[in-house]
Amino acid sequence: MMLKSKKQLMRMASLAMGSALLLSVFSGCGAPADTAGTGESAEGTSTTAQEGEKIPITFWTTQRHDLEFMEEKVAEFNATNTMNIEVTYEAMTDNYDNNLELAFQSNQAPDIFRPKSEIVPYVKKGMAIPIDEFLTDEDRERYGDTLGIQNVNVYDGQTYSIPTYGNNYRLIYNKDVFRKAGLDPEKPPKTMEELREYARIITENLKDEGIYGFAMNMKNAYSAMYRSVDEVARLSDMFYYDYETGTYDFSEYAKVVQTFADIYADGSFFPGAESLDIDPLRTQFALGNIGMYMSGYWEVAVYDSQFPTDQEWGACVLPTYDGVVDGVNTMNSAGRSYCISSQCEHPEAAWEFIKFITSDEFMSEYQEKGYGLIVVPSVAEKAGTCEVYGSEFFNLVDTDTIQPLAPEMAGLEIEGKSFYDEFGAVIMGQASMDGLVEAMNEKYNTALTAAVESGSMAPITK
Amino acid sequence: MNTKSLKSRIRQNRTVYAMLLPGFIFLVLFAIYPIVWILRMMFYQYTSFGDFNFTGLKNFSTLIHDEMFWNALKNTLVYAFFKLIITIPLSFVLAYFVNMKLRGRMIYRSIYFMPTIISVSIMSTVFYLIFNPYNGSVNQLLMTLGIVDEPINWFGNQFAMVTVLLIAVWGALGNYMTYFLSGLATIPTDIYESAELDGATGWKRLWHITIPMMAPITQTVIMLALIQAFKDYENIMVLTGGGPNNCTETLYLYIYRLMFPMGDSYGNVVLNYGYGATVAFATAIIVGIITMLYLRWSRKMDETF
Repeated sequence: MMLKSKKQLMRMASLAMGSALLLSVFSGCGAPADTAGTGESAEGTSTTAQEGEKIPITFWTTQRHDLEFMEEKVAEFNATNTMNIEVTYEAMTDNYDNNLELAFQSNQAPDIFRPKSEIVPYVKKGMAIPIDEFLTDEDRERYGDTLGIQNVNVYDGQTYSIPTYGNNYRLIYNKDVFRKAGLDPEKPPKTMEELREYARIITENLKDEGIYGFAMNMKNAYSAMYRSVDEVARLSDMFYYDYETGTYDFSEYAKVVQTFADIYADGSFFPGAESLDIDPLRTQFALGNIGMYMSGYWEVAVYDSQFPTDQEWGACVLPTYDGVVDGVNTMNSAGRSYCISSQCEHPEAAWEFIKFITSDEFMSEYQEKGYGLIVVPSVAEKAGTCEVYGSEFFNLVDTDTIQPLAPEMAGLEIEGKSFYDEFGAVIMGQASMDGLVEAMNEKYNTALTAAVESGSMAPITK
Repeated sequence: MNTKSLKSRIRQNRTVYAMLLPGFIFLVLFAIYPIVWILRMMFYQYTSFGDFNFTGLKNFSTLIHDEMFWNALKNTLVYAFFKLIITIPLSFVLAYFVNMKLRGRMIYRSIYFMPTIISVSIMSTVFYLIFNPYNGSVNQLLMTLGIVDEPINWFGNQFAMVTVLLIAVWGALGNYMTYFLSGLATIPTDIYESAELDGATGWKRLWHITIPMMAPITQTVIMLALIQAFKDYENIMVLTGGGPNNCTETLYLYIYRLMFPMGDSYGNVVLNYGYGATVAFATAIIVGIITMLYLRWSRKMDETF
């Protein structure tokens, strides 16, 4: 009897387990929700709030470093705006995109959101509405060339975001190390050959003190190369993507890669570059053990608060391949800022707030307090510079521009190793350049052609 | 079984069911549902943002041609093989010694076990500081002793896997030593006493009594160590990030990077849950097959000897 009931108990348990499994299968296999489809599109529509009622606008951002300043400004806007708009400001950094998607699925999306990455995926999903109807001729004149950039703030001919702040790239160098090595700190290298020579001199003279000429954070080849090799190549007009023909061509880019490989082969790289992350690189620079490296505007804040240093450091426009500036640099995270959500019921009110936080006065104060670098030239020339040491080296120059994204940055999927890994291995002396250019051209152009033919990507040209 | 008896049985065993329920719910929510989700994802392309695109068997064909997957598989096999053949004998020897009646053996046991309770990421960060080529203490020591003239690039192409393995072995020794210690404790002392009467001491005792008597627990320890070696990735992620040039990238690290790209979305991997699920499934199958082969082989060895 006991045995029988045990058997029955087992049967019951199996039945329950089976049912639960089936339930989870069915729930798991349910049709995936269409993110924006659940939300009522606000495109081209707007509802007016009852007279006397506040118009609620929710604003989501990924940034926390400016939280106090933004909260203060939001309170100021709420107290002074004439449209009775009440903005709620929410900053979140963890799982931002997942939370945003969930909010859209449950029809609780914010009215304004800051895209965490490029606008394309947000637009494709129908999360953002075009803002062309709000942009006046004056606005377009104000933003100039920084507006209308494919995949950066424009998608399929419509504008979805506007430029505000960003990061430009420079060669960061230690003036104290230059002096110790017998180099003139006011004459940083202008060509890659000069950079190689400077790195060699620093290493030769100061290696015994643990000081090396040049550093790259090659633990992640992409992270190291987008801020250095890519930008030297852009400024030298040797970039891997040809915006005229809309195709990849790595032949000129490979020459720039080779100059970095030569510096490594000379033994002028800071040891352990293969496993070096950007933060350990910065700490070693702050300690005076690295002569030069390439990075963006964010280094100003790094040496001001994250790794304060007593070293005298400077920054200058990146060197070019042969000393001739044939191209321009692009700026990181520039060209896009805020998007109006497709679930926003009061787009005019949302735009009113965006106008407030993109006004000359607001942006100037934001930059002066050191929260960001203005990338709109017409605004930047009116704004005061940040008082934090080093920011003056990053004042905008003509070659600091915003360029369209190359296809792989705009979502082109590449199978296997990326060109960053392949060329990164060449820099570190772990792979040969033989046949690599042809292989990368073939791999990237094949993927691009397939994506364009299938309609999943529009051709990217200038 | 009629309805009445079913109801009455449920009523009779309601305490049992009530006690089983919380565990059962957790099992369904946190084990069965994710597994089903992963199985389903293998047929989709999904980047956590946007539509689930049904891609049929595309993820599987990608897997077959994915050089990074095969490279990670090769690295995993090398890593697991060397980790095992170093860790298992060493942890057995350690267990054997700390099981002897030595003064302070409890202190030794605690010290050897300590790496097991330290967070892997903290342990790996400390080892990074010890081994880093620019100011790591290992290089400084070697240079002070005059063993090397130039600092060794422990995380360079030549030594990265060796360094990663060394640190992994250090982290695992104490854990498996504890398993062996519990095995040693189960060997009855009277066997040793009677062997001693027969004149068996030292090596003979170890070779003819301890090692054969430890066979069942060794079999289990090897199986656990095998599975764990295939699953290691946290230490590698901190130490080398899978580099240089992917020479230390293991399967679990590759899966992790597909599911949670480490700020390199334009780099060598792009967030893709669908493909990540496929790699995870293939890895589970590979680990399962290798573990099964090992168990079969060890059973055969049992029968033979």
